[in-house]
Amino acid sequence: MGFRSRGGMTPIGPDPVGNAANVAKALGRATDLVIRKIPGDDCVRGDAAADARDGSSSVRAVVLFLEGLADEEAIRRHIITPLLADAAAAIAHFSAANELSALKSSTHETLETLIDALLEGQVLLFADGCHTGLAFVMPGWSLRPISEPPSEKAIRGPREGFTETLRENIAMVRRWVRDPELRVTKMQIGTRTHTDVAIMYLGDVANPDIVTEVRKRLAAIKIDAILEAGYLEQLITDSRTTLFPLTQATERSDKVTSAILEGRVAIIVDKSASAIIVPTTVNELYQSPEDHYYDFWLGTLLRVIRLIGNNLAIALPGLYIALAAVNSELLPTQLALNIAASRLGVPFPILLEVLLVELTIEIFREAGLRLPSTVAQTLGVVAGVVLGFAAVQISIVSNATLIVSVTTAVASFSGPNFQVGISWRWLKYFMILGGAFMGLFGIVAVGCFIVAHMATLQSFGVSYLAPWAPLQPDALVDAPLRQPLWLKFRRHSTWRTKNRRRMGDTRGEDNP
Amino acid sequence: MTFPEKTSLRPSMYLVLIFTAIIGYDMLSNPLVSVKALGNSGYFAPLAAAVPVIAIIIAMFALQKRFPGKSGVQCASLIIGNVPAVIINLLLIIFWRVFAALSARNIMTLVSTQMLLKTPLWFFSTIGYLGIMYLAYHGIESISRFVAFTFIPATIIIIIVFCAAFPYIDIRQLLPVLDFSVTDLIKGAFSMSYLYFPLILLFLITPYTKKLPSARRFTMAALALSVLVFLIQNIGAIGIFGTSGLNRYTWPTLEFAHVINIRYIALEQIGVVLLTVWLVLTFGAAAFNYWGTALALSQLFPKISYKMAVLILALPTGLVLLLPQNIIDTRFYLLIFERWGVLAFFGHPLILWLIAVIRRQGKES
Repeated sequence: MGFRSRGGMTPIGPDPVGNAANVAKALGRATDLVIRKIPGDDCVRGDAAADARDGSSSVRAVVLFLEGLADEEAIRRHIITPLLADAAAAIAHFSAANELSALKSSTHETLETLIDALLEGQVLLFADGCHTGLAFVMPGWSLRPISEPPSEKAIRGPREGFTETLRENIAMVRRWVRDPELRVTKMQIGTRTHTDVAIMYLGDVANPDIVTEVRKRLAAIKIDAILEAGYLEQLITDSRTTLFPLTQATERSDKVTSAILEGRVAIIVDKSASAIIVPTTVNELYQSPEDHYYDFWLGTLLRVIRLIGNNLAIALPGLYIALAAVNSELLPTQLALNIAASRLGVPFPILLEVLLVELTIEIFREAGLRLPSTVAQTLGVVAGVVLGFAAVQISIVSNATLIVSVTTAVASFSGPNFQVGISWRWLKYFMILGGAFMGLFGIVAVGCFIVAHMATLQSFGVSYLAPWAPLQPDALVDAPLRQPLWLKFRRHSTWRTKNRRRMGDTRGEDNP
Repeated sequence: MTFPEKTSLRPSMYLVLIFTAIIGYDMLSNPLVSVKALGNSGYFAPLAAAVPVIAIIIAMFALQKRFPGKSGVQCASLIIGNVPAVIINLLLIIFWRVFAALSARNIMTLVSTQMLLKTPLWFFSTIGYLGIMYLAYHGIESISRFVAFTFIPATIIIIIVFCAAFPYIDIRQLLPVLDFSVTDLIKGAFSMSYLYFPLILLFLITPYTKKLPSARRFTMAALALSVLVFLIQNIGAIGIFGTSGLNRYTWPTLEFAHVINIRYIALEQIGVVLLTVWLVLTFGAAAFNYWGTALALSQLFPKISYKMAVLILALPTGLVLLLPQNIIDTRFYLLIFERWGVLAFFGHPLILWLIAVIRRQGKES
């Protein structure tokens, strides 16, 4: 590069054009790299001859940015225009008073750190004769407006989901928690993507061991690229082979805020609309912040319904096979006869029949996600009703099997978390096989296997089965029932927080 | 990347673990033994058997107090020397494992007759035992979590089912009350004491808590709760079938649950609900027992790691489990073990404690 290299870092030279050329060279002459040269006074006057005579550069400063990442209008107004008007004064202002300036900028002494800033979307300024470069934060990439996350809709509560911009997501949480104890620490992960990752927690509440462990696990990641929070989830999980999510992903800012207030740690990743919450337990996976927006009765009802839905999503087809095919003596006689009658003419064994319907529903579900919204509903009705009706008419499947499979499919969406729904779908197939080969005993055996496996899991040192196992009476009153808000004096012991006090004794008129 | 959980075995876990270990061993056929000993007053037998067990519990906790942080197996070598300790502990482990395997076989036979007549026994026994090994392999934390998770719903359902059978009781079958001699009561207590053999697990879990008095209280509570369940169950079984009627059934508790008839309930037989729930408890209890023998083996031979011990015990356990030809064989062998078990499971800790007291070994309070 023609510069002295100190420990692998290239110092910035006094020639702005040379510096710009070095940056361009480092980026492989990228076509989206915009270089604006600010001519010197001689050049402005057209005195090129004088310039050639004393050998000085005719360029006073060079501005560089990547097209699309920086706000070109802001660059023109706040950097180019002042430089053109009076380059010396503007550079002096930028260099000396950048801390007082409305512009957010930083000074760098090496080319590499400036290139990193450029790649982040910052605007670089090299001034003639200066051995430092300035980087201005002037983001100009297009932002997605804040909207309700489609997979985590709520009837009541804020319609605010995370976007793909880290600072916006952090700001969303900050707007909820106006507490100086809200800690935000950033790091970069990915040797090529340099993805910004922020860890958020309440300094006086979250367990410091858990926070340290989160930092440690994130720092240990050696990977070239982090494209989504899902990458981190897979890399920081306590068990990489389990079916169960040991971290909680959400797009809802209120859910993240609620978790932070409980004493948990949130990890937010730039360019990802999902945040990760750790630690998590299986108990969290059927709960929603919405539960707390309603009163105790409605909140409890919603939770219980979700819990029943989750259990149906896992066990119903397996139980159906076990009771209809293996242990039919356990069913009331009339019910057993009705099921047998509905299966008359179906040429397949019940296992195959159930798997056929389940597989068809899985395909519909997957295809439905990608169908254009205008035709999705119509096609769903046509596929569901017409195909189902036709399949029963020609005795490929029975009505009973169809009822069971459709109920299971609907129940799998009862949970507030899509990712968890997928785990339940996997478990459903284990239950189907257990029920088909060993009847009710198979269901019990698979159920025991599942619970045994869950008992071996932990998320950042917290038992995955908490608060049921180990038994935590203070947290059990909030699962599966929803503890009345006016009784939530303390944070649950599950998260082992530093400060468990949440509120004073908020008495109502009926409990003076 | 692991981040060990800091929660140890809380005293309350002693309630959950000990209760599950006792109830998960033999809940379905014990009324047969109790009526043989005490006739119509057989429901007193589990209660009578529990009284001397209290002394055993106290002895095991006292042993722990004398040798803090040491399990019963480790205490033995400090009390009676290495060689004798290895011999008696090894005998205990073998006895315990064979007994546990035969009990498991008993349960598998029950599953076969009640649920899976056509399926080969070895198939579902292997599946079940693999699950138990899997849980045991992950250690006491996982076992305690599994047991804690299933304890509350299972206990509630079992008690509800037993209570639901009460309207079918013929009170005359339970009379006359206290119709036995003291000798009969002692015999009854002795013959029913096998229900509490799983208490030997205290031998190994006492070092997992620092709050010994609290853990002892919870262990006593577990014993009291188990006695309550056995009492309700025996009253139900004897009250419904009577002494002579009971002898017709291999699994009287299941049969008395079968008499419950609740119209419009989804399942035709409540007995199966009871069996299903009890099987879950049995799974936890079997894993707990497996853990106990594997840990004892690894403590006896320190070169064998705990996980290695779990694997070493797998094949002998499987062989013993599949050895008996039928339920008659199984019960015959079990009866032998139940008679000698008093010496192995209760005598062992009691004698160790007595020697420690006489020789003034360990920490004296």
